[in-house]
Amino acid sequence: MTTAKTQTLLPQAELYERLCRLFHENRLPSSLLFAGKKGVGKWVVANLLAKTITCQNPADNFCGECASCRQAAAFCHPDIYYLFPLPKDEDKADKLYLPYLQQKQERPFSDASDDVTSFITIDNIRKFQSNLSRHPSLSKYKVGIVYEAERMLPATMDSLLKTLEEPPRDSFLIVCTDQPRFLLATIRSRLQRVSFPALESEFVASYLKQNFEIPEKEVGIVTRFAAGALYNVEQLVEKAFFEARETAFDLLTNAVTMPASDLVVKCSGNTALENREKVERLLIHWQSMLRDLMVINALPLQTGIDPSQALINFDYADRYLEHRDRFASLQRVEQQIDKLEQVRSELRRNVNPKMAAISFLVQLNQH
Amino acid sequence: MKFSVTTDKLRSALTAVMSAVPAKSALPILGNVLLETEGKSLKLSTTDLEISITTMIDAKVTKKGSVAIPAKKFQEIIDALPQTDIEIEVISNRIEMRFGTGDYKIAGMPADEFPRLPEFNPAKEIKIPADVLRRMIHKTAFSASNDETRPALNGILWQTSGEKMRMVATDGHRLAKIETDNTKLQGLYGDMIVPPRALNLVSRLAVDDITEVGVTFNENNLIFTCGSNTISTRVIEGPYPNYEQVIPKYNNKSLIVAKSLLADTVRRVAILSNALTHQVKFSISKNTLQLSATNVDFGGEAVEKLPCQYDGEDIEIGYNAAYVLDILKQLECDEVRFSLSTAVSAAIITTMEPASDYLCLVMPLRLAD
Repeated sequence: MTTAKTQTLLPQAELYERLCRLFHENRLPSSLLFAGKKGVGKWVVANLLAKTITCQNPADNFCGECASCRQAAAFCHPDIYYLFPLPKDEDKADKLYLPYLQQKQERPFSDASDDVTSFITIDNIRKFQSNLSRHPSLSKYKVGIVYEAERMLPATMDSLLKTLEEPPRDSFLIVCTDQPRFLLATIRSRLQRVSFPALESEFVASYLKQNFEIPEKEVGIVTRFAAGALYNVEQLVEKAFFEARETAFDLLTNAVTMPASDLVVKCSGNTALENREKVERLLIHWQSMLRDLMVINALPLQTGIDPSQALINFDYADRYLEHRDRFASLQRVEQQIDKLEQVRSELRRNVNPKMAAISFLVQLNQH
Repeated sequence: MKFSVTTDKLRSALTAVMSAVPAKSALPILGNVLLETEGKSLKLSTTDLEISITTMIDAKVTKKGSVAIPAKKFQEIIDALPQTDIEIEVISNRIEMRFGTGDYKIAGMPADEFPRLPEFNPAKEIKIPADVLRRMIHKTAFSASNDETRPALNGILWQTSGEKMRMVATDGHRLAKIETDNTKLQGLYGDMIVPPRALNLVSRLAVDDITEVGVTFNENNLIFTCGSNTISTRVIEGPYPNYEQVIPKYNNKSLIVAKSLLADTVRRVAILSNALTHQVKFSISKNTLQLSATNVDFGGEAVEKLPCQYDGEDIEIGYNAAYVLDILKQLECDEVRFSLSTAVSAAIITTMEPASDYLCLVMPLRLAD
């Protein structure tokens, strides 16, 4: 096992080792579907596997020192090709190609681009297929990695299907997605599915400790927030995120304790609701708190069970219990969570963030 | 790294290697030329990951080293200089160019970020005559396909295993095949599909006093040496379609026509052909060839008659004028022979020589009733 040489902390280590073993035993399927929710390490494992497949010292998983490994690390390996959503404009796409890969290298669990208008187009895939049709140049095999595959346009999927039907010799194709159902059934059926489970809490905690300077208590909270996926974890460790948690709890308490008119007045002047980013942060907290309340409401009174083990915001256990009667008046918490999703999608459609947040709190108040 | 070199040597070396620098690339390092000192020489290399070119020039090396330097800016600077000696020094990837009273500085990139190029082993090299290779490339490259959905057709099939060395290219509408005696490569290697861009580059660099081109066949790439230039290219994965199957063996009608007269006439008539299909109708009757084209967009019609030698039954066939002209351009003769069968089968176009080593095929277009 050589992973320690290149990365001290490897997500899905067991899965990666299994894939490596299959490769060394010549049993690795040539077309793989890496499926799992965002932030569980699909990108990391796909890249490490590509390095392993192309490494010139095959005795180890990958040496990290040969020309192949060095070029793979710089994303200029002639036998490793990437396909991911890029703008249609070719110049813009060229400018964003390397930064996307570097961004993924730096923050492997987060989105490399927030451009939702980019897709994997037919032109992108033609170039990718043309490269795959060449003999390998530096290594024995070629590897094609399709990332965010759910963002392939229909014509692109048809074209990919052709490659899957007649896979180029000496090549491996790794298709990564968190939405496998968006792929054509004919594509899914031609790929060997590798399911990525949620990351273990111990891994998430170690990752947080290694990469961010945050207090031990916050490590615990973020680990629970992450729920086995490190997607956009950078946002969860910001100071503003924890500050917003306090505001979110206050507003939630106000929503169940204050008359609606007072609640509206209080919210109107609240700077925590002044922009989309801040409101989105509050929504994340409200979601976690509503989920906690479901747990609290489900526990029978005076059982002596410590609810904090099951809570995301475990440090708020006493405060939840303090307002337990008030919160118990919230009917159907799961419906409120649905409502939160609705607010989130409205925000994406550019509604006034403050109005959306107030409207959510007022309807909580009416319950 | 420190060396001095004459600007004219550097200029011609840069001209040679610039062909492999991609006009646009998603990987910035590919926009650089790699400079490396090797003994008393300076090595310049470029690559677009498919093709790479390396050239060596004499230089006065005072300190060994290597650096990647932005190719276009470097070429612009060298092109703008008069013939003089230039001293180049690299300190921490910063390149300083000094000449006369001038002092230019440009930021480079670490050499180890530059992709590793295929290694050239002179012991495995086989020399073949440059003029033979050049001719074979010229006669076939035009027929290769640009359609990326059929990668094998994007290349030229180079067959070296048999008694004849053969190059074949086709895009599915036309085909060009040339063969020559194979004394040096026979039995050594199998078939390879080579990108035409690489072969055209070899053809362009194998000029002047270069009489032989060295070829090294590796498992995954081909390396050509033309004088001080080394070109390596990845090969395309096969299989190549069985082209022999589409070459008709029993075309029993023979049309013989003056090449330049036919080319000029096709070119004129094609002006009024359909903009998409470029269809020109060949109406062949005894010793008369009538070319016609219509374009409904312009309400245009063009008809011309020219003499020919033809003794078969009357026949009407449509061809893409551009394909016919491409082929006629490659045939070195006064008269050409069209071997025909029916209006919907392929025509073979050759010179009048009975044992011609060069054959072109063009598929007909279906004529409207």
